[in-house]
Amino acid sequence: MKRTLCTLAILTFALPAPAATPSLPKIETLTLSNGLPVMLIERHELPIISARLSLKAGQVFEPSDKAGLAVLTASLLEKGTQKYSAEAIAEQSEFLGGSIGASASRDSASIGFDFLKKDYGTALSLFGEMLKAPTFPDSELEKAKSQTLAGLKSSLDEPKGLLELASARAFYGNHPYGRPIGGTLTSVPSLTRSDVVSFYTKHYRPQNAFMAVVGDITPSELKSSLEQTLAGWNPTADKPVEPVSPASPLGQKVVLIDSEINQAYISLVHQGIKRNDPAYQKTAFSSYILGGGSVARLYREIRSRQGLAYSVYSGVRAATYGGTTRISIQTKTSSATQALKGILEQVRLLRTQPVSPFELDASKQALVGDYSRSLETNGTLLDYLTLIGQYQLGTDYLARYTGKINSFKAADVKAGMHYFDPDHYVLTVVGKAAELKEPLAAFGAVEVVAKEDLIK
Amino acid sequence: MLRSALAALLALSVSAPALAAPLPIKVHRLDNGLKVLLLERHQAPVVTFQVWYRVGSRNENIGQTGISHFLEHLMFQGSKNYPGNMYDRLVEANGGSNNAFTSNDLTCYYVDFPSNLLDLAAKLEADRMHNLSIPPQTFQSELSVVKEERRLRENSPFGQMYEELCALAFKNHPYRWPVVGWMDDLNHMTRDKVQKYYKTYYAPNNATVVVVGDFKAPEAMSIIKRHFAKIPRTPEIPKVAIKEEPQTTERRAYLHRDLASPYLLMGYHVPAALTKDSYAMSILNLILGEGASSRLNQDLVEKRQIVQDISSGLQSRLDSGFYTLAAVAMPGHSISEVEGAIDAHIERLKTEPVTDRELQKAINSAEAGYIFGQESCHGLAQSIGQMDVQGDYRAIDTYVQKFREVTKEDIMRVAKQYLNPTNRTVVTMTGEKQ
Repeated sequence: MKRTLCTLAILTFALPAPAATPSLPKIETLTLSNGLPVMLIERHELPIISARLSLKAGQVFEPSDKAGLAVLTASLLEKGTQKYSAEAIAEQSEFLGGSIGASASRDSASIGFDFLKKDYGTALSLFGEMLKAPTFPDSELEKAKSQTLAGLKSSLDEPKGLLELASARAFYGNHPYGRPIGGTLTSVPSLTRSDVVSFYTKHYRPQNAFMAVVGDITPSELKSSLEQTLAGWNPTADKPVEPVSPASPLGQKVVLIDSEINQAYISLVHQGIKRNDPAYQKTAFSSYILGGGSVARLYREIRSRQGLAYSVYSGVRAATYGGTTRISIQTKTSSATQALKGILEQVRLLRTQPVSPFELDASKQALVGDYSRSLETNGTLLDYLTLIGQYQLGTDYLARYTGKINSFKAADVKAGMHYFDPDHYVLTVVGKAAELKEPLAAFGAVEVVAKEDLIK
Repeated sequence: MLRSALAALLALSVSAPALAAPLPIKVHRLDNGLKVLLLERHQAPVVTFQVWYRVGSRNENIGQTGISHFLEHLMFQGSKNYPGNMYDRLVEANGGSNNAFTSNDLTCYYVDFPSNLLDLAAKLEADRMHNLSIPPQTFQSELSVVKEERRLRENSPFGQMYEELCALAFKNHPYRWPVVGWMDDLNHMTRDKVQKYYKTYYAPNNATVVVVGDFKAPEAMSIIKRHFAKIPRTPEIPKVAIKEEPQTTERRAYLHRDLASPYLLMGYHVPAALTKDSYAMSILNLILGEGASSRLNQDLVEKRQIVQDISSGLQSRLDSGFYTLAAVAMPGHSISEVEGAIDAHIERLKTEPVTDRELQKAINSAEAGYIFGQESCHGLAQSIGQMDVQGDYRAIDTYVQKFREVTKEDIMRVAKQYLNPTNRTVVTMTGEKQ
């Protein structure tokens, strides 16, 4: 106690005036003739251009019996187009020292590239072909399917991957968010080329998409080059079906995956919120104080004081249609319950006791500082533009961020802990079931799940 | 990853090439031996302040493996004027972000912050260079943290395989043990050992300060002098004189674990960082194993479909380099089939020149990588610091040129010289007991 007081006194003395608000990048917006919204941040210091087209074509839009279709479709965009073979796409971009690729996540699919400005023409040519003229060759489809199936089985080899699969399934159940992103051993073999073509035809349309660009290019150069590249890519009358939000489990659920490892990999998941919920920033702020970094409460108590873990963190995962708050830790098998009790105690403390003015101010400074430094690279700016576009956060998001963080009071931190609810959670643990099953019963009825069942 | 040995492993396998015009890096040497490298860049209001110590697991002895990395953890647990976790708290309260990593060759501490905090960063780093305090209770709890970090590695197939690989490939050089250390040595760690180690290696004459970002060099220099000049130099830093004998026969280990598909990891001894042949090896690696268009990926993953994934890594190190190839087989395909396919590609490199286009691709990739590498002050300072510890920070200015000078004959020559079965170690991990 004495040390804490002494520390605070010195710290208060050393606190500087709040750092100046960083100079904000200007976001230009434009709309192409096919209706595609485009956001641009011009940066001319280095001769590089980074871009990303995001589409409402993620896992959440898959038909329920077609798990894996979103990832399969996206991955095949780089596996052959009318003009380029799969090998040519990889070779041409790597020959220039650039990169281009397509991928899909829970809510969206994207095609992105990073190239030197001098190679922007080639980048656009590859990009346009991947978006507008993929051929989905049968041989590549079969190969992608067998690689996905092999990868699914191998994902059970690492406890980290196992925990991710098990925790998503335990929390989201049958909702698409609960399935392995690449599909299951049952669904993947049944996916056909016509499934891919119809998913592509329906979802890869301008009315489902937006584009973000950062780098050495002016708005007029960008507009004319994109108009040319995307000519012929037109909207349809289809509106995407809005997926349902997942139900939130109530009470306490404990899922245990048996694995012969020397630690318990633990994930404590609570209901969360959608990314565009007005309470998002507040929840993320509370999560930062709880378990966001090396001065966070979980780090200080569970790691530094009790020495129970190398890694203990909390986080907020907010997607378009639902979300979670979560705490994760890995600790030796015999410490699992001690660590969990300590974590829940810290959660309760932060929900009931106000944070000190110092902790509040230091956390604001930290987040504003992180934010200010994150504006340095094109990659993070591209991420911000994608965030703004995907969740409709408004192009003033960057300008509002610092003010929003600085507005938080101690009461906001308590309110932001709303979703970290110590009485309602899904606790998933990967580890030695024989040693963990009994002690874990203190946290709820334990269901032991075979790891093979996670990918069926 | 925070304060982690693994992060270092990844960071140091990234190469940093260079443009024609030299970077205007200013070099100073304080009377106590501290080297200071300053590079002004005013694009963004950001500064990175990094302290690079020339100490890593290569400086350790059997019986105290992991001590460099453990000491790195303790450096965040308080010094005379900043007790407890004040270092972290002050950095946070001032909008900065800090971390550290330890590798085989070095230990690096960094803090990234808004431009106005240079004085604070220098003050904190100077205090813990000279005044570290290690309370007994902190020592014990942080040791438990490091043991948990060790356990994490044991739970990953490639983590376990990599430890076996190094332990087998190196007989007497300290590169044979993991940076995190052996569990038994961690169990026998004492405060005395750590204090002695700290006093031996944490000294201005064993460190380089690298500052990159939005500051004025003369002002920065006077701040650094104010805080660091009073720290006395130590008499002599022990040299690492151990030389690994050349490997003359292939070495193998067979591991088993509950796995869906077999895993393969092999490593070849190759030349040390910044030597002429290390550049040829970099080009060879770009052609053979880097990226989707590399020979191994195109043939083994795309055409023959015998592996799920294959990757390569060129560990550039002070005493000798290490070139690794890692693969996970497709179900139904054996390790020997995968090994045979990799061997055929290596043999081809020895007998047939690479194409003009492949060579050009590797050079272009280095040139573009240099430009992309300038995006962040932090990344640039990492490259400068790493090269300085490995011999010469000016290598950042000649890197791309060295790439351009590599010929097809050089690539054939290094393939013949280093990529031989007698110079390699192979570790496999399979599900069934053989």
